Amino acid sequence: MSFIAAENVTKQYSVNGPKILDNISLTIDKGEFVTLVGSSGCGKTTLLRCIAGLNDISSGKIYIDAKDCTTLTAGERNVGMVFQQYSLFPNMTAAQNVAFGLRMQHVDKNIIREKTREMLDIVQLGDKGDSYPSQLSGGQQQRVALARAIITEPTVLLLDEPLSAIDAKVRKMLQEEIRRIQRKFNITTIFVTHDQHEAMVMSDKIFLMDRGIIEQEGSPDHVYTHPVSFFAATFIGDNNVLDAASFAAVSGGNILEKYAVLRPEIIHLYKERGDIQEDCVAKAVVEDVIINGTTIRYLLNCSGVSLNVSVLYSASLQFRIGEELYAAFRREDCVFLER
Amino acid sequence: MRTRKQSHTYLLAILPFFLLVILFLFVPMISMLFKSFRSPETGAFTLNNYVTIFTKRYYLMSITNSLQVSLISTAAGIVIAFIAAFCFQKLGKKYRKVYTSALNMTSNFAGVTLAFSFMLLLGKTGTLVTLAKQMNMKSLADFDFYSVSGLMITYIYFQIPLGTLLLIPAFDSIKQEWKESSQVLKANSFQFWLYIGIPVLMPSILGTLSILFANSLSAYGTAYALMGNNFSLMTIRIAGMFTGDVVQQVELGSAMSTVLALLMCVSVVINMKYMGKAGELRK
Amino acid sequence: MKNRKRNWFAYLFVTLLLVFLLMPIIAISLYSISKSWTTQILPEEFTFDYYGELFSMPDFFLAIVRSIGISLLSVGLCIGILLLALYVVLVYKPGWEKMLSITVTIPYAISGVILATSLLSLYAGGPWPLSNRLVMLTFAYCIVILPYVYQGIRNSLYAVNVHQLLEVAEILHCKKLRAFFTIIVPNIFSGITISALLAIAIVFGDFVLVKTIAGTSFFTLQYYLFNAMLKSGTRGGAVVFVAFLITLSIAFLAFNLQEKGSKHRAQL
Repeated sequence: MSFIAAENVTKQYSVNGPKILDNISLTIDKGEFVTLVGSSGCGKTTLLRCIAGLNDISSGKIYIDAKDCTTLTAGERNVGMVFQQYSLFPNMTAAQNVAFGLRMQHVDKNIIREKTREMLDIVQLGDKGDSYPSQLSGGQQQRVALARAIITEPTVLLLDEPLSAIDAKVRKMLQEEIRRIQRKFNITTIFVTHDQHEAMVMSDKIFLMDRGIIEQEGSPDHVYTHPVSFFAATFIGDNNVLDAASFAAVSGGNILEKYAVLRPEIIHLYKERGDIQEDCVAKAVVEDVIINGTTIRYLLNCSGVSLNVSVLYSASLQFRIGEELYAAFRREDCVFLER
Repeated sequence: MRTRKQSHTYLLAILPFFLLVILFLFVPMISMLFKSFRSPETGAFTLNNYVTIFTKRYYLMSITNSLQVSLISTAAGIVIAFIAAFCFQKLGKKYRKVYTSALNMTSNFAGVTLAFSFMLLLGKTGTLVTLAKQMNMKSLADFDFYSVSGLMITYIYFQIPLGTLLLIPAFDSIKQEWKESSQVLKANSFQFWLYIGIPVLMPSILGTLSILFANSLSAYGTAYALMGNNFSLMTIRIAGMFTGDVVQQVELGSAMSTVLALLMCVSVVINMKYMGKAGELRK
Repeated sequence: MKNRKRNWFAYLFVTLLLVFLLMPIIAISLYSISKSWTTQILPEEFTFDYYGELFSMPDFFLAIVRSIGISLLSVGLCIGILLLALYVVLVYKPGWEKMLSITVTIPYAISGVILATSLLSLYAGGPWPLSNRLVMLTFAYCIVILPYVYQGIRNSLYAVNVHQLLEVAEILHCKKLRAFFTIIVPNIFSGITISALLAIAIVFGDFVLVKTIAGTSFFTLQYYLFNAMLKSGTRGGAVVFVAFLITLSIAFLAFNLQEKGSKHRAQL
């Protein structure tokens, strides 16, 4: 039996209204870090809140630790939750915030004090216990919120876009910290984000959602290299998704399926035709060059088709805007999609 | 580069303001202050006026009455206003325009007009009193509206809409995330309000409290319409000392005015302190 | 499910509260159109006679005219004086703003009886024009409404980029004072109007100042009402209702303007 499960969960606000969640089923193993990812309105936050018990579901079941929790309130489900913003209680210090859950469970005062200190050290805010939320930065506030959620040893940790309101630089550090803490305590975690990079970097498993259904699930690696639909291919990564006509223009070959997906790194660039080993070759003109630090992105115009190519930075081999070159790739590196 | 010889004619524009404020605010205030320390017989400096109003029963009673009526009506008003604001915001954004209009409308209903309307309901031949007589509800049937209790009812009446209108925006600042976080951490609704909700709202509550207190302290029309000069309130006494048939007691009146003004100032300062804090917390 | 259970208390409380708040208003409205209403819960007969009587009396109209007249006068003066003062402060002496805002807050504490009596005792026997009761009353009202008008104007000024607009005007060779009144003021017009309406409602509903300062020499509606109620309760009812209706319409207008203003701003 899986640790967390949703079984045929549907949510509508009125009987004939739109389905926010449409017959969703998923399973999560103990200790796994999974991410619900998708664009705004896909239902990922709603699903998370239904698992938390903050929203009711119209039909289906929710299991937490193999127990049917569908009719239980949020407090009864023993979950931990961190919100996107305004998580902390503004009238309490960081330490009081962290201690709140234990207070509600009537844990002994001394134990609370000790555990609170310990937890604040773990999130590296040991000296900020007496600070109020208004005195802490956004990143610090979310760390306190995380500590508050974990200290009660919840069955599952739920994070609703906790880093979306944080500065980019701090975000990267927090991504690592969340993952580190999650591994340390081995807590089953469900993370919601609209940022596909974040999903890829942090998760053991990704659930890609679109309009109330789960479009694809799998490890980040698998979802990246084997998208199952146009939506998946365009959402994750910076793929080139070509229809049959465009693929023919670029490769000279035909396809039976609807789309061909070319990941940016499978296309190799050559100055001379003679060195090429791949089976699909096309002439192209460089339209733009973007240096991303360790990689260079080239935007090519290949017989009217726009391609973006990603190569490792190399001082010796670089192309300039307007230069003509050959773009080559292996047909077997492409993914072909029916839909 | 502007030369030093810039004309200062623009200062003429602010002259009317200075005149208004000096002639009709500062000078009267200061003269009142001076008069309060002046002896009516000799014209010399004295503290007697203040001693009199705090020792002679006639005057002391007006101070204690004013404080009593204000404190009680403010306390009752804030409790009702708090519950009302809580209930109103629970009803959601749909009805917001309706109930804020209703509250705005009733908050304009104060003073003499209010007193008379209540007389129609609770006076000797008032509607509710008649109704009570018919239904044999003795306590209501024998209710004497022209008393402190009657005054209290009218005072509470005009405190409620004002307090509610001031508190409703405060409830907006209670974030849904706080409620849900506390839910997940196994706190029930009562615990949420006790540990989080009310503490967060406290600056707004205290700020509103001080406004309500100042409001009822300075009320005149309602009390006068209801009980004329018969009930001893500071505002009524002060007015009586400057006008009316009895010999004028300008010095005593000034002393009492100063005391009232001080009480009002304290309220206003408290309000400014707490409303500022409330705004900060909301950030 | 949880929401519905808890909401019934909210609905109940709100309904009871609104009944309590609206009861006197309903009572006075019914009273003003009832012929006799002594022994029953609802009036026995309805009549508009009182209104007919009322509107045929010139005193009544005069009282209303006086009330509206002095409201408009004092509010207009106050707005004019404050706009000029704010012009000077914003353009030339920004350091004075703190003092300005403290000064206009003082009337919150020094109003009503205190203001009336101190003015009276100071100027009653004094030099003209200050000893004229009407002058005293008008400027007393100006003081009373200062904080409200200031708040309204200041709040709407925050929304307008005053300094930038004035700088642009200066570059386009427009004199500062003219710029202020032809560019800035029209932009804050709705803010001014709303606080003006609020101030008019306050002056219109005042009783203590007119009674203390003017006494019987200037019969405003509130004073008229007071006397009417003393003489004959029934006629007083109609007066109260008319007075209330006027105050209500003013407040209603202000409220609607505010809503329209915020909707307009949201659309921008």
